Amino acid sequence: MLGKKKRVVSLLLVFAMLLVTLCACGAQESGGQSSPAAADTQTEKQPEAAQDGTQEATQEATQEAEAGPDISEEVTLVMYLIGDRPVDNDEVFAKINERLKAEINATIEVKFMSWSEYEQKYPLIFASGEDWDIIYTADWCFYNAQAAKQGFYEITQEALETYAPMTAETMYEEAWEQAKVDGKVYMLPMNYKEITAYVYMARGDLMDKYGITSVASLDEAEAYMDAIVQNEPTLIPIDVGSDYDKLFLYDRMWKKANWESDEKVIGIGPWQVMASVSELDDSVSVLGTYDQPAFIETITRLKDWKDRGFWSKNAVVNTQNNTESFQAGKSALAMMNANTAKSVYASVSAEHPEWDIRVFDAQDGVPPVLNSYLANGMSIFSKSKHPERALMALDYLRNDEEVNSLFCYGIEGKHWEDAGDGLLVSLPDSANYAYDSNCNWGVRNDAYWRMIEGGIPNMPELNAVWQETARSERYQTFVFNDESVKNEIAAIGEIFDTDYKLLGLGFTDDPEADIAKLREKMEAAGAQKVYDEIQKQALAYLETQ
Amino acid sequence: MMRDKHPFLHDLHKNRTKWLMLLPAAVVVILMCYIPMAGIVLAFKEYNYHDGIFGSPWVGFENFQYFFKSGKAWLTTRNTILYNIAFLCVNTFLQIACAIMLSELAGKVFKRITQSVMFLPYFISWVVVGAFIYNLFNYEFGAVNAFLRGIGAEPVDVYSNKNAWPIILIIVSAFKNVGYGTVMYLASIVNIDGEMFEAAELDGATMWQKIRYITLPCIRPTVVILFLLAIGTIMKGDFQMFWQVTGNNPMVLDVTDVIDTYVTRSLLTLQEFGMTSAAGLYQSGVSFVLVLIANYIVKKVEPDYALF
Amino acid sequence: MAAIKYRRKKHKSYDRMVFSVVSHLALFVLAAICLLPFWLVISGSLSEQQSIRLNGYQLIPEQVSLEAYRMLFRIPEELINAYGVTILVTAVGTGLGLLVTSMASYVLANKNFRYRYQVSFFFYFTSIFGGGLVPWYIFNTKYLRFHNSIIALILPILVNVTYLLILKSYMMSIPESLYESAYLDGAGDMVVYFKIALPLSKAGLATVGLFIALNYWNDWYNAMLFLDEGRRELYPLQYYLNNILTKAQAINAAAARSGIPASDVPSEPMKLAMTVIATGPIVLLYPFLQKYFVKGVTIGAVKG
Repeated sequence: MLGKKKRVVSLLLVFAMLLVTLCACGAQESGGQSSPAAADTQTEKQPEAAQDGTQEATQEATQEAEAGPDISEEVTLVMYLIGDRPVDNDEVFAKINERLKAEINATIEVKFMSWSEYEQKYPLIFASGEDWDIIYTADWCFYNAQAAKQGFYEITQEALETYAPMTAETMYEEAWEQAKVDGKVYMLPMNYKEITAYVYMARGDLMDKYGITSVASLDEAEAYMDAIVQNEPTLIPIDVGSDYDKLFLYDRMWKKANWESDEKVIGIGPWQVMASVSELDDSVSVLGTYDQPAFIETITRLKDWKDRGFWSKNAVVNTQNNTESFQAGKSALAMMNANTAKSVYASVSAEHPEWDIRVFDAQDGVPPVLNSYLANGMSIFSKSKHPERALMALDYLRNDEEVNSLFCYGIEGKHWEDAGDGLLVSLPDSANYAYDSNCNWGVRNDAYWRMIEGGIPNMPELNAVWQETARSERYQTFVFNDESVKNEIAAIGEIFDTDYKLLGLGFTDDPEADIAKLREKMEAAGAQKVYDEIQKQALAYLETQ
Repeated sequence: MMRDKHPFLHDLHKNRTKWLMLLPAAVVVILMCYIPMAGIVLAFKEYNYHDGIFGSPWVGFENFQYFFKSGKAWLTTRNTILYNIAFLCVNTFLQIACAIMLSELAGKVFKRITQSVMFLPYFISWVVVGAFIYNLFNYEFGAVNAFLRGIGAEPVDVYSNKNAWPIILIIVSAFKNVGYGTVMYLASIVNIDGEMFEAAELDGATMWQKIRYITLPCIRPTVVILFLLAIGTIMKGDFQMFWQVTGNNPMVLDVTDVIDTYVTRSLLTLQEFGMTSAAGLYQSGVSFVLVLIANYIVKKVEPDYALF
Repeated sequence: MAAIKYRRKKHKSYDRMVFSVVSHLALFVLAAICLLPFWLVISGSLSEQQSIRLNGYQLIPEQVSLEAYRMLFRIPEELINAYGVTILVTAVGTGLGLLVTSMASYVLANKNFRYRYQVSFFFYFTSIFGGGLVPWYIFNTKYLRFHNSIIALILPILVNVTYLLILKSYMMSIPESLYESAYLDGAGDMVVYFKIALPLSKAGLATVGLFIALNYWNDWYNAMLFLDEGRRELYPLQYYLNNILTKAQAINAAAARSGIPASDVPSEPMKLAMTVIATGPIVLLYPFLQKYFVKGVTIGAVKG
C-alpha cells in the first residue's frame, strides 16, 4: 500500500517538474518570437524625398518629380491569406520575393488561416496585437465590419499615387468608388470584371428517353423535371436546399419576372435585408422584396414545383449541394455557375460517359450581372508598421505581369503553360499550386487574366452571349453603411435565414398568408428603418454620380 | 498581537498550508478567467481596434436591443431552459440507473465491455450525429421511411413535424451523455462504505431496499451538486447539438431555437463583438440569479451540499 | 437502518435474479444503441464517397475503400507526431490538472476551513461569467505570449471549475473523524491530503482524471486559436486531422472554382475515419481505469 502511495507521489512530482520545464521552454520560445512591441511608433507618414531614383520609372504619371519613397530599410511584410498552404507556395513566393526585393527592398511572408477557421480567426488577429501587414478581404469577408472597427489602413488617393502608381493608373473608377466606406477607401479591389452566369446541367440519356430537347429556360426545366418525377422514382429532379444553392431557383424566377416587367426591380443594400427598388425610380422608394408584385407569383410557382416533388421534402436541411447529388447520380438536374460547371462537366463526363451530360444557359434571357469589385480585394492592417511598403508590394502583386501570374497561376513551365489567346493549360504539377486557388483573387487583373483551355463544348457560345448582354445594375457601386441600423440588421438577418429561406424553397401551404406573416415580422424587426436609411444613402449616392 | 489582526489575515497565517494548496488553482483561474472578465464591458461598447476594449466608446444598452427587439427573446429563453431541464432530468435518471446496475453486476467482462461501449458516443462529433439523423429521417431515402414504405405504411416527414424534435433532441442528448455521466455516479456509489451493504444483507434486505435506503441516500450529495452546477448552465445550450442535429431547420424553429443558435444566426454576417458579449451577459445574469436562489435553498436545508 | 424490513432469505436470491436479468438486458440494449452508430462510423469510413452520397450510411460498405485512411495517413511522420503531441499534452495536462484540482478540492471539502464557501464562490463565479473570446484571446496572446507555445494547449483547460466542485463533493463524503485523528497525531495538511484524502477518493480522482484527459484529448479549439499554420510540429491530433479534412475540401473547392476536373477527395468518409483514428487509443484508457470503480472498498479497510 505504502509503495503504491509513493509511486503516486513521485508520479505527481514528475508531472510538476515537467510543467516547470515546459513553462521555461514556452517562455523562451514566445520571448524570442515577439518583436519589441515598444517601438510602436508610426513610421513616417510623409515619404522622404529620396533622390536615388532606383525605383522603376513610373510612366508619365510622375507629377511628384523624381521624388520616390524611401526604401532603404529592408522589410519583411506579413501577408495573411485564407486557405491552406499549397505545397509549392514557398517556391512560388521565393520567386515573387526575388522580384520584390530587387524592386522595393521588401519580401513577403505568407501566413494562412484555413477555411474552417477564418471566421473565428480573422477578427482575432486584428485584436491580438500581432505584427502583420496585408490581408485578403472582400465584401463577404468582413470588409465593412473591419473597416468600421478601424482595422484597415486608409488608402488615400495621394498614397495610391505615391506608392502604387501602377494601381493608381489602372484601377477601375467604379471599383475605387465601390470600396469607399464613409468616403474612405480601405481596400484595393480586384481589377477584374467578373460576371457570374448560371447554367443547367442535365442528363442527356434521360432527356432523349423522355423526348426533351432542351433545358435552357425555366419552362423547359419544368418539363424536364416533370418527366423525371413521373418516370424516375429513384431520382430527385434537382437536389437544392443547401446553404450554397437554397435560393438558386428563387433567384432565377425572381430575376426573370422583374427583368420582364416594366419596373425593372433590383436588389439594393445588403442581401439579407431583402430590400428592392425599381431601377427607373429616381426617388428610390425602397420596398421589401416581399412587397413587390413579382414576389407572390414567384413563391407560388416555387410552391407548385416543390409540391410536385421537384426537390426533396427535406430540402431545407440539405447539407449536400445540388452538384454533389448530381455527380453521385441522385438527381437529374443541377444548376451552378459557369466556372463550377467546367469542373463538374470534366469529372462527370469522365466518370459517367453514359449519362451524356449537357449544359444549357440558365439565364433564361436575363442578362448576367457584373460582380461587385469588392468580391475580392486586398487590405493593409491599420497597425502595420510599414503600410507604405505594403502598398508598394500590393502594387506589384496586382500590376506586374510576372509577379501577378506567379501568384495567380504558379510558375510558368512548372504549373502552367501559355496556350495563347489569354488561355493557359494546367500542367500535372498544378496539383501543388492549383490555378487561381491560392487566395490570389484580390489581385486578379484583367490585363493578365487567363482562362483554362478546354471544357464544355458549347461554352464559347454561351460565353459570347453573356459577354454581350452583361450589364451593371444601377446601384452596383452603392455601398450601404449599416452603422446606424445594426440591431435591425441582426434581427432581419435571422428572418432571412428562416422564413425567407422557407419561402425561397416553396415551403408554404398558403403563399399569401406566409408572405403576410413575413411582412409582419420584418416590420417588427425594424425593416422600415433600414429601408429609410437605404433610401437616404442611395439618394446621396445618386447625387454623387 | 494576534488579536489585532483581521480574522482573514489570521486565518491566512494559521492555515497557510491550505491557502498554499489553493494557490495554483486560484492562479490559473485568475489568469484564464478573472482578468479576461474585464472584457464584459464590451457588451456596453462599440468596439474598434484603434481604441481597444477600454477606450472604445460606450453605447449603453444598444448592443442588447437586437435580442429583445426580435420578439424571440422569450421564446428562445423558454426553449433553452425547458430543454436543459428535460435533459437534466432524463439524463440524470438514466445515468443513476446505469450506475446502479453496473455497480451491482457480477460479470466482469460484460461490465467492462458495456461500460466502454457506452463511452463511444462521446467521441462521435455532433456533425456526424447530425448526418446520421438526416440519414435516418430523410423523407425520400431515410432509413425509417424506407422501412415504412417497405411494410406498406405511409412515410413520415419528421423534418416538418414540430412535435418530433423535442423527443429527438432528448434522445440524442441522452445518447451522447449517458455513458459519460454514469461514471460520476458510479464513482459516488463506489465510495459508499461497504460495511453498510454487508450489514443490510445480514439483515436480509432486498436489492430494491438496499438501493432505496443505502445507495440513493448516499449519492444524494453528488446529485445535488450536479443539479446546482447544471442550473449554472441552464441558459446555455449545447450549440453544436442544436445546430447540427436539427440542421438549423427553419420549419421547426419554434421548438428547437435556443439562445445560442438564435444569436449565431443573427450575427452570422455582422461580427459584432459587443452584441455577442451582450447576449452572453444576459445568459450569465439570468443563470446567476437562478443559481443564487437554488443555492440559498440548498444551504437552508443541507448546508454541506451547497455550492458556496 | 431501522427502516429496512426483515425478509426471508429465499426472497433475496429471487429478487437478485430479477434484478440481474433486468439490468443485463437494459445495459445490453443501451450498449447496442451506443455501438450501432459507431459501427456506422467505421463502416462509413471504409465506404466510397459516392456511395455515401447516394445511399447514405450503411451497416456494411458496398465496396470497401481505404481511400479515406490513405488520405489521413499520407504523411505518417506528421500523424505520429500529432499523436505524440496529444499524448504529451494529455499526460501532462491530466497529471497537473488532477494535482491542482484535487489540492483545491481537498481544502474546500475540509470543514475546518473557515472560508470554504467564499473560496468555492470565487471559483464557481468563473463558470457563469466570462469576458468572452476576444478579451481572453487578447490577454493570452498580447500579455501572456502564448502564441505558438505548447502552454496554450495546456493552461486554458487546466482547471475546470465544474470538475473541481464535483471532486470536492466526493471528498466531502470522507468521514471527518479520519481527518481529525490524523490532525491529532500531528499530521499536517499535506500529509493528510496525500495519505488520507487522495487514497480515499480514488474513484473520484479516476472520474475527474478521465474527464480532464478527454478534454485534452479532444481539444482542437485552443490549437486553432493559438497555433500558426506554420507550426505543424505542435499540432495535436484532432487539429491535425481537421486540417487534413479542410485541405481536402479546399482541393475540391479549388477544382470547382478553376474549372479543372474535380479530384473528388473523399471528404465524407474522411470525416468518419477521423473519428475512428482519434477515438482508438483513448477508449483503451477507460478499461484501465475501471479497477477504481469497483464497489465496496470499505473505509474500514483503509482505516485498519
